Amino acid sequence: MSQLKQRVPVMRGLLECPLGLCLCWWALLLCGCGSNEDSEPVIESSTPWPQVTLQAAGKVVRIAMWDGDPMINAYMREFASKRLREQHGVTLEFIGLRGPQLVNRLLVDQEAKRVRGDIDVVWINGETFYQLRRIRALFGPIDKILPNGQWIDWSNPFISMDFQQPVDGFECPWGNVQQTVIYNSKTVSQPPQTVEQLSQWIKAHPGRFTVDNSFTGMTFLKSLLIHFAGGGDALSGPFNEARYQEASGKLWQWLRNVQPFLWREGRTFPEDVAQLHQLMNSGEVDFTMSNNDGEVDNKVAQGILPETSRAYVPEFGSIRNSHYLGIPMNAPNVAGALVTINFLIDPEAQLEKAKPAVWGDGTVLATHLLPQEWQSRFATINGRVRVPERDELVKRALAEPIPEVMIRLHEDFRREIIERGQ
Amino acid sequence: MSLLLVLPVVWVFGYSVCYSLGAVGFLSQGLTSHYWVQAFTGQRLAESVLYSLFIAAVVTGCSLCLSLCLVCWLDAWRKHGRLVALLCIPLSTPAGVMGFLVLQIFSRGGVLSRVLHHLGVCSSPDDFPVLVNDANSVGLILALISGTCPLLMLYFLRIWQTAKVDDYVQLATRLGAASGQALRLVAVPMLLRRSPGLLMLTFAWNFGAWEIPLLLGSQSPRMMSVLIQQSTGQYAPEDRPLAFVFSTVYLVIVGIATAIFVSRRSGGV
Repeated sequence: MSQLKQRVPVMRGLLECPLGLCLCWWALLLCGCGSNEDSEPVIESSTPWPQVTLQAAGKVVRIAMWDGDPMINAYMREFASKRLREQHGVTLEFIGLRGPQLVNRLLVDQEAKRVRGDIDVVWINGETFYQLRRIRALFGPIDKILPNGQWIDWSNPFISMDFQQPVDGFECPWGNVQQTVIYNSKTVSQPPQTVEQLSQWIKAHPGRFTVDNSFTGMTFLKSLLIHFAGGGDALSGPFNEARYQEASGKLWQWLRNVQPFLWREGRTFPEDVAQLHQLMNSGEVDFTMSNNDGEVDNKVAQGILPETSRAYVPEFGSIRNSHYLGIPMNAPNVAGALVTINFLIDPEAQLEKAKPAVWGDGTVLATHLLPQEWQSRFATINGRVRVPERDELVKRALAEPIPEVMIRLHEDFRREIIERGQ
Repeated sequence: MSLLLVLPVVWVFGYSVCYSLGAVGFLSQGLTSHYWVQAFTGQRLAESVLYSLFIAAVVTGCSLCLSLCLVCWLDAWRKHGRLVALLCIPLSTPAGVMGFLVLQIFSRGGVLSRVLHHLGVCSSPDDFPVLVNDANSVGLILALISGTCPLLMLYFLRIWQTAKVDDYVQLATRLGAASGQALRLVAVPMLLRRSPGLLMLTFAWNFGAWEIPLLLGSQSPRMMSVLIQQSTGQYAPEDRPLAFVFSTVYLVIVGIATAIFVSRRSGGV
């Protein structure tokens, strides 16, 4: 720092003088209040696709996405980014953001009345979609504009409904997955299938099971909540306080019963699923979980999980859902965003993404609608060895309940389990 | 100039108060004291404030004792300049990396437990004591000390030179004081008299620490910064005003500490 100050007299002045620092602060603030004017032609659902692609060419598209998985990052940076530049002249830039952070960012934009933001595409799931729709932060409908939308079965409830809310064209499905429980077959010969068996296993093996305190763990708890509510569609439809109270009461009772036998006696929980994977790899626990049924194979390939890992869906079922792409209302480059989304649901991009060695994410395309050549390519994807086929898993699929359930569950888990366990 | 300096802070504070009362915000439904009542009737805020104060006090206190001992009683630090360069390593290590290193070393499945297991000290890694995300916050305190102690040491070494502490210590020994007495009664008070400012800053820094408490701290209670961040980034944006209540309380505490420091300032940084 001292060298910098010696070499750059202006910098020295600024760093040594509080007034200089203050002026910098004000300058930054004023720079942030730039013009909000947008000179791009407006895109509507009737805009011809060639005009959209023409408008997108040569532009930069900024996509906000969770960047915690090296394989997903590699797919986006090495495959999608490269192809988009080659095929459409669009340059992808990445912003690492998770759902709640994204909602906050767009909410702050709304509060500041920023009509021209800095994110073009967002990768979202049901909770985030629910919040973004509430604050009217999504551009749409976009489903009719995308040419590759023709390969999607919009009547499929796992696509047309996101956490019990109709999508209404305000987001485009990108991947379809089901939660699996992953266990170490070296130490667990018969994984528990029912809630009762799970409880018995936890008690017989103290410290070897836990759930993470984040999205994946809460999704697992939702499966248990649905079980305690009566299973199947018991929590479908609008939020029902009485039904939630009854089911969650049973869930907390069950959890408190097994809490002393959880990892660290249930006094603390892994912050996220990455930490849970690490615990399984280091041998501290025998179970982890994943919201992507294809993840077990690619996590083993990366050395994050042991070779002996296997994935399954217990008899009480697991949540199946889609994840989506959307466009913020204040996206500076809507045309580029549409071209990017259309590319990401292209059969070529979806096929690459579905390969377990690449990402292992389930396709959202209704493969029977595709040309024969593509149908056979999708049918011959291989590399799925540690988890049953999707057709098997879907028999135990549960639909996502409405987002209020997740919001309440997260808050109540902290109050009823974490804080009581201290 | 004072106005220009103070205005940003007042602005942030004012916005925080307004948001917490529902006066601003996209989802605001009008003025309400609901979030303040919620914050002060629940245990979360009080526990978090006390926990953060406790961690900041323990880290500052331990770092102060350790750095004074190392600077005063291990004169190698003062004689060999290259050793001082070692202190720059933990200081230049990002807090997140430091937290991750502590996690890798001190967790039950970490390096230390495995080494002890192979040496036969403990029968299985599970016998290793819980040192991260633990109720006593051992790992958290260790990680914060590893960043704070080198900073204080560098500061004390600098004071040692500029205030010619060596000359006073030698004078005391020539006048008959034992070496330990000279260090304890001459060097330590000289260093401490010049450090209240830095100690206050260190305390405030640790009170507001974020990455390391997020990785290594207990889940309940949580440090203030983690509580604020998680309240802001939770699933329900209509509860954002609650996060602003926590932020306002944080600003008030830091403001009071600063006011005390400014009013009693008599040297230091």
